[in-house]
Amino acid sequence: MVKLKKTFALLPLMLVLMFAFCINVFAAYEKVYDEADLFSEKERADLNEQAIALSEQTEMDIVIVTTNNSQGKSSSDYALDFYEEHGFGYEGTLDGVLYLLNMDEREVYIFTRDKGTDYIDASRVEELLDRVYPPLGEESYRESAQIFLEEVESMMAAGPPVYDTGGSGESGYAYTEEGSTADGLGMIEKLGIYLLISLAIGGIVIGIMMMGNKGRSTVNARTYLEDNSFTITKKRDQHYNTIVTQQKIQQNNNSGGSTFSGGGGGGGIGGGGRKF
Amino acid sequence: MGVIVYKCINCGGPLAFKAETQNWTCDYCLSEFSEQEVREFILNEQAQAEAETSSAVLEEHKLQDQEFQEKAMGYTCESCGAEIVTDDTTAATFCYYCHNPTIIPRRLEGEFRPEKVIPFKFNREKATEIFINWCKKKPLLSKQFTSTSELEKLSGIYVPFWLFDCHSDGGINGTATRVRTYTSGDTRYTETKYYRVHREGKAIFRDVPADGSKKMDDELMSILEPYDYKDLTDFSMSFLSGYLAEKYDMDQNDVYGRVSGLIRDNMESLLRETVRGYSSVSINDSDIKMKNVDATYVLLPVWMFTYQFKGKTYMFAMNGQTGKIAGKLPISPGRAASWFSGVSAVAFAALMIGGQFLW
Repeated sequence: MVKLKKTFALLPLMLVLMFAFCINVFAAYEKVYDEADLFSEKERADLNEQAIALSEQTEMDIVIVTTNNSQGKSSSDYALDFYEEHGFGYEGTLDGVLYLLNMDEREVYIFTRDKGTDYIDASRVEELLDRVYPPLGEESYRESAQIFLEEVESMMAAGPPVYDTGGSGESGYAYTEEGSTADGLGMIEKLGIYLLISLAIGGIVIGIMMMGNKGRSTVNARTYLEDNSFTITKKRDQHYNTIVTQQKIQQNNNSGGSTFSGGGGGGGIGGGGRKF
Repeated sequence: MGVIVYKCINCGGPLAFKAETQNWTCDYCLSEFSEQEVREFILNEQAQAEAETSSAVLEEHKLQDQEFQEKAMGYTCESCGAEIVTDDTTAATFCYYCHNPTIIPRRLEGEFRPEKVIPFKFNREKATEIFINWCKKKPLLSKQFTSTSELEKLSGIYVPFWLFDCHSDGGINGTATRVRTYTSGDTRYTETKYYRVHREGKAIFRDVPADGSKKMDDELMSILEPYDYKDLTDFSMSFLSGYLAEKYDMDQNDVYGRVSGLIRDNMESLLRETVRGYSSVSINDSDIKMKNVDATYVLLPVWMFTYQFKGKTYMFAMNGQTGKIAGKLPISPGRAASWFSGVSAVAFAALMIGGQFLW
């Protein structure tokens, strides 16, 4: 009995541990796939760590891939396939940015998806390529990847690109803060919600158990009714009014990811490459 | 002749009603008697006693103060001669000194004579067993609670109840709505139709119980319901031997308010159930009348448990026929906290696993 009590007493601790563990599970992704063996082990680990941190910060997946063999695919196809095969994306969304060094084609390619495409549109991809390209000529691959991470961080921090609508001269619309968080809740927020829901469930169950901790009445309206003695002698249902209200159905267009995709293919895919 | 002690026909030892065998067994010579035998024996005794004391005692009675007659608290034990101390609603008890079951017939005379009784169906040991089994099923109860040492008092009491028969008829008025939604183009229409509903009906209610003892908590007693009335037998004082018994101190008029309210509620919900097929129903008024009201005075068996736990007194009542229990158990904060965190942890884990697929 005492032992059982101890186990029960440990449960809150277990709850906290589970909470912490879950964050780790999400974060423990491999972010750097150095198949062309361009980085030293230390460099790889270092980049991986930064990518994980950046991923948490920007709430989208940040992946660095190098390859010697693009299997005859173009860099853009290879990046897309790699992204989908590995199921990247932040917490169930497909949000992310992938940096590919395709040594087969000697090409650097930036692939963006959904939120990544929203923030890093075609012109920003060009901007990115301008920055990561120079070190590649000197075979400073780590430096290029490092610049990629830094540039992505500053672009994400700058917010989504603002479009000049030209005609009216007013600056058009930008994605608001809410708009971007609506795509996917932050990990901590989500866990917080889970925690609240589970505490609520616990509370309800305990409430029911407390109700059961005493004798309850089992008598109902029919307990003392003589069998078949209840008869309806009069029954009237009279319709006297009708009220109709109408409501416009809102079309749900909250995810604008694909709107900005240059390809127009599979939802929110963007990117660009440059040979070196 | 203030009190009755049922005595064994064979050896003269005190005789108590045994719930487990539903007859009377002498604890001393192990003779068993049926209700018929006990009754005959009592009638003989009474006839004898009356013959002996008739004239002399009657005169003596007249001299006694009327107030004392009605409220008298003191009776003398037939077996040991000690004073039996009771309050003025007790009809059956035990001698404080020799512990012989004692019945005070004056308290069950005339209008206080119950028409029917449901005898106890199980004995003290069985009652304790049922109670402990019930406690074991309560996950929030402290484990120490059931250790028998905490049981301060357990007594089998015949509680006075009024059983009401009545014909009820009446009607209810209310409004009901039926809601329908449909879509046309990009507009959603919500159509709410309003109805006036009216129902009238009649019903017969039988044996609606209400306890007639101020000592007994009404709420506790109502949770013991229902009793199975097929076990109702004609009243005989011999059933009380070995148990406590109360006489009513609230007559049928005093409890009628409670019962009529209950029957009104029942009738209203029966009528309410016949309003079907609506999205919402609200009853505005109801008018329910009762006639042919008839009350029967009966004694129903109740085991009363008094528990002392952590300085507090807990009272429980058990239906002496069905074993149904009323009363509130103490909640162990430790066990409640454990269950709370346990359930929450499981729910959290389930959400984490489920959330992987959903989000």
